[in-house]
Amino acid sequence: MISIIDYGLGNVAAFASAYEHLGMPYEIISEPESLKKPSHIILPGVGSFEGAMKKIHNSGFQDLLTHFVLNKKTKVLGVCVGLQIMGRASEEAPNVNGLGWVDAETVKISITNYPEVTLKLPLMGWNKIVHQRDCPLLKGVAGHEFYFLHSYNLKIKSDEIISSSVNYGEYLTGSISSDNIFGTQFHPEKSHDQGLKILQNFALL
Amino acid sequence: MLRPRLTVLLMMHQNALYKSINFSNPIYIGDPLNAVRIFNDFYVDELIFVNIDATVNSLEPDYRLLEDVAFVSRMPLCYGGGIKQISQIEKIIALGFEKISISSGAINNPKLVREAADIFGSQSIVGCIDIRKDKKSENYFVYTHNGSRIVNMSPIEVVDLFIESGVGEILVNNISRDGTYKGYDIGIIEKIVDHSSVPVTAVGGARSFDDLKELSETCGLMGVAAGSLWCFKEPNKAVLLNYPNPRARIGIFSSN
Repeated sequence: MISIIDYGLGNVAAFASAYEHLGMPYEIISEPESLKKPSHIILPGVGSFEGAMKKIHNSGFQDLLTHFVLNKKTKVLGVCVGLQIMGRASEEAPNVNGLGWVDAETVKISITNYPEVTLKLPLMGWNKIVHQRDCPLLKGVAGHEFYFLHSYNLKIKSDEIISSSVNYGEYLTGSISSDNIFGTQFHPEKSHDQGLKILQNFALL
Repeated sequence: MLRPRLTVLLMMHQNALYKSINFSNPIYIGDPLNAVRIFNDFYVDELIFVNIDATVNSLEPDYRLLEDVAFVSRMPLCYGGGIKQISQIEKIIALGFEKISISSGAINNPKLVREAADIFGSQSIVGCIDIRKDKKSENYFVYTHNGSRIVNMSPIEVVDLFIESGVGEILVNNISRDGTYKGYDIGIIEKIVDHSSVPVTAVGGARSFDDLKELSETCGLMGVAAGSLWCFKEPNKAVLLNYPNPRARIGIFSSN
C-alpha cells in the first residue's frame, strides 16, 4: 500500500490519480494517527522549503515520519521540495532545519549563461535525466524527459547516492537513492508515461 | 538540456471549453475532461486553464471541475482566474495543479503574490499580463477583467511589479492577437523576455509551427503557447484538438 502524506503542502491528488491510473492501492494520509505500519511513503511537495517544513512540523508528521524512515527503514519517495526537505538545511530558509534523513543541503541554482542561450530561474520545463548509476526506481526510463519546476538544487555530500542528474548549465541532482530513501527533483506524477513508470517502480520495490 | 515548453492554453467559460477572438465571441470547443484526455495522449508539455468568468463575475474557482481536470491529467497544470486569496491557491495546488496564475489579484494586491511565493515558492506563482496594442499610438496597454479594465501602468512596469512581488513566471497574453491567426507580435514579447529575470510564456496569434519556431528562435528558452492553433484544424474550420508529436516538436525547436 502506498501512503501519500497530505501534510498541507503538495499536489497530493496528482499522486492519488497516478496510482488510480496504474490500478495500484494507495491511501491519502492527512492525520499522523492514520499512518499505521506503512510499507511505502510518498512525500509530495509543491512549495517552499520553509513552507514545507513548517507544515510538516505543525501537522505532527515530522517525528513520526522520521521514526518510520530511519528506524523502521520504511521506503520513502520525496518529490521536488519533498526531496529537498529530506536534507539537513536550505539556503532558501537559513534558520529552518530539514528532516536530516540524507546528508545534503539545498542551494540556489547558480546560473551560467552561454552566448546562445540565457538560462533563467525557476528552472521550468522538460529535461532529460542522465543516469549516474543503476537504481530500481529508474528502471525502464533511461534517457527520458521529465518535468522540472524549481529554483534550488539538493547538493549531496556523497555522489554515490545520486542516481540521475540533469544539465542546466551545471549538473543538478535529478534523483537519489540511499537504502530505503528515494527522491526525485522532477515531478513523476506530471511526467506522462515515463513518470507513471517511476511511480510503479517505487510501488514494486 | 532544457528545451522551450510548447504550452496549451484553454479557456473555461460556463464549465465548458471555449475559444475567443480578441477576448470576445467565445466559440464552443468541448468538454474539458475529454480535452485533457486527448492532450494526455499527445504528451503535451503543459496545460494552462483560464476561467474567463471568475474575475469579471467575482466567482470562486470551480473546484469540482478543477479536481476532475487534475485527476485526469498526466501533465503539468496551471490555473488562472479569480484568484484573490492564499486559501484558494492552497486548495487548487492540493487538487493537483503545480502553478497558479494571477492577474488583477496580483496587480491590485502585490502582497498576495509575496505571501503566496513565501508559502508555495516562486516557481508555482505566475503573473499574468493581458496586453493590447493601441492602434493609433501603437503603444501597449495592460488590461484586466477580460480586457475591459485598463491598468495605469506600462507592460514593463507590471512585469517589474510582478517580479518584485515574487512571481516565478510571466504569462503574456496579447488580446490584440487572441484567436486572430496573425502570428505572434514578437516585438513586444522579445522586449518582455529580455527584460524579465524569470521565464516568460507568451500566447496570442499563433497560426502555424513556423510561428512557434520563429518565436523561440527570437526569444530563446521560454514557454511558447497557443490556444486556437491546438483547437481548430484550420482558421474558421472545424474543432479538432491537435498537437505535434514528440518528434515533430523536436523539429520545431531544433535550432534551440
